[in-house]
Amino acid sequence: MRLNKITFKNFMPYRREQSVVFSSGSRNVVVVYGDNMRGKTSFLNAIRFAFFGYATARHLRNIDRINLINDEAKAIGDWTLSVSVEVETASAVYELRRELRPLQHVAHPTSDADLHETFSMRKDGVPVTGKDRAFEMNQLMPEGISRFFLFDGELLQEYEILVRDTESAPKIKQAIEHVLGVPALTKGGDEIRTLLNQAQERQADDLKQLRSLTSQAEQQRTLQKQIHTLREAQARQRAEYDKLEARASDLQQRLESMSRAVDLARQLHEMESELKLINGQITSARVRRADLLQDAWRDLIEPQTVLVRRGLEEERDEHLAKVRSNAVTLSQIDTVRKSLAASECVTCDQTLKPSATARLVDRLKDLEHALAHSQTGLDRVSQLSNQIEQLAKIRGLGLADRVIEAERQLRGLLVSRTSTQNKIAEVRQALREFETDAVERVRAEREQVLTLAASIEREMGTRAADIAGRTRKLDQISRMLSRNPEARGHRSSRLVAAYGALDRIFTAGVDILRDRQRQRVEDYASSAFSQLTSEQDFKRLSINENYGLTIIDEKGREVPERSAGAEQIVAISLIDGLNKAGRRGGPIVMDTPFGRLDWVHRKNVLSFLPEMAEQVVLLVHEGEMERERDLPLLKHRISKVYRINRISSRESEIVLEHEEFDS
Amino acid sequence: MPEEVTADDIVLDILLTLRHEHQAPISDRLVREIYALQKLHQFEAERDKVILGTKRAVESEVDAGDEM
Amino acid sequence: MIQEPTTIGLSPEQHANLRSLESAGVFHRLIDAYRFAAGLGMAHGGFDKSNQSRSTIFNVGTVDPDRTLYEAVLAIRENENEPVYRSLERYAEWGVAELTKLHSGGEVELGPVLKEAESLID
Repeated sequence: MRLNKITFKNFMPYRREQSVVFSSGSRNVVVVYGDNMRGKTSFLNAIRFAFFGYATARHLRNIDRINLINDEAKAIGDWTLSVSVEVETASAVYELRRELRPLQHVAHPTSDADLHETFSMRKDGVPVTGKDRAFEMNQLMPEGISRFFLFDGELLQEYEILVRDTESAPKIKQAIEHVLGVPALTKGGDEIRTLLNQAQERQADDLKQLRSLTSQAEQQRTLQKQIHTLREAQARQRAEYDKLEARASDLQQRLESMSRAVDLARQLHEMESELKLINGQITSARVRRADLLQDAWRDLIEPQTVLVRRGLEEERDEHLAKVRSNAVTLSQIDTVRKSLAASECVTCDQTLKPSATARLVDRLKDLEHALAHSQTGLDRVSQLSNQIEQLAKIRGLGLADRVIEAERQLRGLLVSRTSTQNKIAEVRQALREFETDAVERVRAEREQVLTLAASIEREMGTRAADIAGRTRKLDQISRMLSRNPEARGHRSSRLVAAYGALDRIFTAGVDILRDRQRQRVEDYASSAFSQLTSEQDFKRLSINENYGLTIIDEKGREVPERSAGAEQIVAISLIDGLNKAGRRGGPIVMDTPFGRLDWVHRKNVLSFLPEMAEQVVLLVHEGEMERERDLPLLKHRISKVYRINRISSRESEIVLEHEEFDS
Repeated sequence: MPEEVTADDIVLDILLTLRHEHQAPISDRLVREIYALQKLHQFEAERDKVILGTKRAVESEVDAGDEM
Repeated sequence: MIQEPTTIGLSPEQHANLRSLESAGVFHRLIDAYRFAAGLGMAHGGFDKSNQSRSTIFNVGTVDPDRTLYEAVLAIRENENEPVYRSLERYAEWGVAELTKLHSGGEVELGPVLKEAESLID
């Protein structure tokens, strides 16, 4: 079976209608790159949904259909979803299409009950309906097998845990046995046994007529009745057990969502502490600023006083100049007076002529006039100096820069505070949906349910043993009766013989099939493992009853501990083993297969992958598989490289990046 | 691995071998027919078709044996 | 020689504003805010010319213990017909109104105000 193309619209993060075309021929690998949380697992789920009508989340739980519809689409009232896939087998081309729509009178769906699903199938263009559909689906991709071909990263990484975990192990074992063909014998065996019981009842009625066989016939009848009653009780118990299991599973899911509540509560507490801290810091920052502002007024008044002071200084200088000039004038007056008094020039000692005397008198008048009009005195200079001195005392402290810095810090803290307050509001809102006391209640209830289920399981075991014991007795009697010449004549006895033979064959066949298939899986998986591992010491794999795989070293000893990388390689080896040993090969779609591998192992896996199946689809993120280093290893096998792009937190799209990737 | 053996081949091989070993009073043909039914409907939820088919196949063989 | 008053204050409106500034935590004390406001007025020549009544808030000796403000006002003011401290009141009145305007937009930023005052001389 080969995937040709898948198209989806409004499926999980994929809003617009978009398609992915798969590979064909020797180029049998398609790579889809996508960062975490962008839509790789959703892509896998799209394939699952197209085939089987469900999508899974962590721990293999089904996602509610209403949550499959893209959020952006819902926001604008578009509640339809569609996924269609084109598939090809050796004999035909199929198209499967699955759609979800709101029920007719529902404008705004709130749960799965409000949605209607349609599924249509075409084979070579012709619609396939009714019971034929189930048959065709069985041929294409039996549901039980899908787990190992739609292989998500979680499964790869947790295979070992899943195999050991008591809740998941039976599911995994069952899924593996589906692939290996065991149900054909177990279910077949059950049905044959039912028919055998019916035939035995008929036989008992027939043989009651034969007196020689009356007592055995009676015994047979009694045993049949007892087995019948026991089986009815067993069926009731089984139903009760299944209900309890489902309840435990629900409670587990609730606990997980509640652990989110505990997480949120812790976050809230941390943020509230942080808020308190920030508030304290804000108060300190304000205090620091107020401290600085106490004396900042000096910085404010300084500039103007400086201006005034400069003015006063200029004025004083002018006065001082005048004072000096006056002193010169005074000296000149003194000289002239002396000359006039002596009638002799004091400078040159010559007797003054009358004309010179007259000139000197005039000169004296001028000088005295100038002095008298000089409006200055040392008083004014002294006054100015005092004022200047006072003003010089007014000094700023240069606080501007420090205040600016203090305010910058304060601003930053206020922004932090607002941001923290917003986050707190968000978390509070999210928490409103939880009730933290409830965690304990749910946990206690789950414990109770599991204990009850365990005790029912034990009872079921006892009852099964009881039924088996009685059945063996019944078979013995039946065989004895069938061999009896008188009895052999009856048709019912021959039917009992035939059914009995089939029953024994099918029953014995189950164990033989399991063993043989396990061996084949072990052989194929070991072969794969030896190609994938780089550890020289690791010789092969050994498989146990639950399909857990152990690594065996060259000395034949079990390797007890293994790295996450080794874990992944073991899981990949198992897939290959199942693919080769199983009923049906199909495409392998792997989500994050390289997560834990180092470069050497990654190289090995990359070289191995294209050989694992007719078609391989790898969903990886950039860190997992580097384009420059890793893609070239698959160069000639890659038909297409796609990329999942983020459009928003609620929308992604897949785009084709390369076709026939060569470099 | 050069083997082209499928899982179906293996199941059938086991059943036929057991039939022979148990010297069962049924034919190989019946075993094949019943297995074919199981194979085709392995995953169906409603098993009526299978049970009915099995019943018919066994009865027709037993009745054919009567006629011989 | 004009008699200087012994107390100074603000109009009731600006008094209320002054108290708001203090309670918002911008200044430690009312007196810090008053001095800052007065300084602001003096830096910008902001002078309340009205003759509205002003309530008494502070003693002059508390506000201006070393007479720095007195000398500054004396040097800067243009009007010489009133007591120096009355002029100081006018600067403060203007300054408080101005601070209130700045504060009304949210968290007040006084650093730039101080920086600006520095640049007024250069």
